Amino acid sequence: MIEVAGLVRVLGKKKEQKRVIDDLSFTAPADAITGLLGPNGAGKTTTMRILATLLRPSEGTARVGGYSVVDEPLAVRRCIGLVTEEPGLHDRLTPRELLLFAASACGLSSDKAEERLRHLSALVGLDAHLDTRCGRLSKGNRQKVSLVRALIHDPPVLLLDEPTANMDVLATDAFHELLLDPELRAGKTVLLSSHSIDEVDRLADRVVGIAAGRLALEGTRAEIAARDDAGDFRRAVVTILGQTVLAREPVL
Amino acid sequence: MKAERTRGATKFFTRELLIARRDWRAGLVAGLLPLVAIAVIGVVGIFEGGQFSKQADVRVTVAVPSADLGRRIVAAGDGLVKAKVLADPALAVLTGQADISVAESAAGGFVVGTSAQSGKTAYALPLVTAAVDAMRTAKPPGVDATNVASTEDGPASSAEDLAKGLLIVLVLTSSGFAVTAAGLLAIESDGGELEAALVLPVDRRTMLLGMLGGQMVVQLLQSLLYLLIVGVSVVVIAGYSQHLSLVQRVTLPLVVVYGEILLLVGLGAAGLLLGGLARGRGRAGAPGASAVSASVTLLAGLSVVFTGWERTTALLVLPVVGAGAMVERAALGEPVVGSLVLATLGCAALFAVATQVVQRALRDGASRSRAV
Repeated sequence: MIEVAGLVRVLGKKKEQKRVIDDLSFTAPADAITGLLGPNGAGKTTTMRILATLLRPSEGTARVGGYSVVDEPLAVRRCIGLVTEEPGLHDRLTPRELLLFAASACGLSSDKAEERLRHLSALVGLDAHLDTRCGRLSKGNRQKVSLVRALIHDPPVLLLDEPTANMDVLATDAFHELLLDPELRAGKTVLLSSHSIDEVDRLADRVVGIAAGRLALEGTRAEIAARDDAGDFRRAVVTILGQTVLAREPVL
Repeated sequence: MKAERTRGATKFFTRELLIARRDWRAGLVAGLLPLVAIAVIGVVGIFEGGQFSKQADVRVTVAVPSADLGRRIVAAGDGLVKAKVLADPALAVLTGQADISVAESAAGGFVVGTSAQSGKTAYALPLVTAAVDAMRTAKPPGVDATNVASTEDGPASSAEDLAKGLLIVLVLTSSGFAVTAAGLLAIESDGGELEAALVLPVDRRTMLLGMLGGQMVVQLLQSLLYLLIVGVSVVVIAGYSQHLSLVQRVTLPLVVVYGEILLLVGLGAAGLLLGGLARGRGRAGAPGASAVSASVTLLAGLSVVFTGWERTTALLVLPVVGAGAMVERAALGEPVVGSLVLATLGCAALFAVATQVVQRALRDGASRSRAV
């Protein structure tokens, strides 16, 4: 479970300080995919970085898996898996080397690591590429490696920061299928950051919409769709996010 | 906790070595770059010292007290020397009218002097002193010739020139190293790679120490390779080996290599800190290390240009590489300015130290071979 309360993150120097996250609060429950939806620059990545302990919040609290990102960052890192827009692989290592290293750094024994590697690579269809250098893999396969790395230690929380942003249509579809696989996500808290309404519509059980660093909407897809006269999820999201952005624009 | 940290650091340390092992081709290419650059310098040096000088009249000017001596020196000068008869040859060197002076001493002998620093002069000086030496031996008995320069001890400016030569090699190899460093010290990183590493449940300081430790070992191993390739090549290609003692031949390349290690480990650490941790975004590595790499190369180019040694080559090779690196960084939209300034300052300090070390190592030889 992820609990965010009154989160603020200020970036920039004194004279040009900007609250990229401004009093953000939301909850992402366990055993569900929560979509963190928002336009570019809304603060999604900053939020994900705070939850992944890569950034410290300026104010507010965030708890991941029950641990505070500020006070217990190591405990948080033990219980998360992070997939970013750039898969972030060592091109000269093979997926097997990379994943076994990640497992080792997460404290898995070599037997357990091998077992997890076999299981997950079979699940995502990566086993044929385990000994090919990462630099030679396709974008889709690179992101699969990134996903397996995030899952290798079986974390209860999975943070996905625009994982399909650089992928083509087919690779994106395959990645979506993986995320929908009940075995892969069983019992996990999944927070999926995306600027694609379609992606969130397809994958998320719950949606948290942010714009200009602020919470704009939160609820299940059905609840959000109900806020549009015609019950259209897409139109409801666009309308609410748009209104939030406009409300934050300076008046000339 | 301590044991856990050690294990964590060891894992990252080992991984860096594994990656570096995979990178051996790139490392080799980077390692060969300075060799190529030195070869270019060697070729240009040959042209400048030989045919090129004949065609373009860039000969060394020797101020002499008499036309007779001037003719002898020109004849001995292998086409590299032209003579100018002046009343006060020593003053001519000081005022820049000549590169080398030959003056008659009060005792009736000859004094060969120079304050010039170019490799060209260093090449010509033995020829001039040989001609003077021949003149001395032709003199009638009774003339005090103790002040005449002897070629056995080497020319007066050879040590300084050698120091400059080595400094340039230091610069060159550092730029080559910097190319390697851009790949290695970046921890093979785009932002995502380091992000992925930073979310591993390992203490970050331990992790970075492990990585840097791995990098240091990699650099050390590469340095040994460079010691073989560059250190030996420098001495041989530059043609200075006859002026070095055996001890100097061994120790000076080591000084060069250690200078590089200092530079790169220091700059690599600076790059990591400046490029990433200071920015607080967990994107340590690539931008900082690249900026450092670029700044080292650029600074190297500027250093060589301003020290004046083999300007042509320096102008052609190093700034082009440096500017190329800078353009590449800028094209990638990476923030280089802040890192560049700090890295340049650090780099300048390290260069100063390295220069002092090299020059100190040469001082004994300089005093032995000083002829004036």
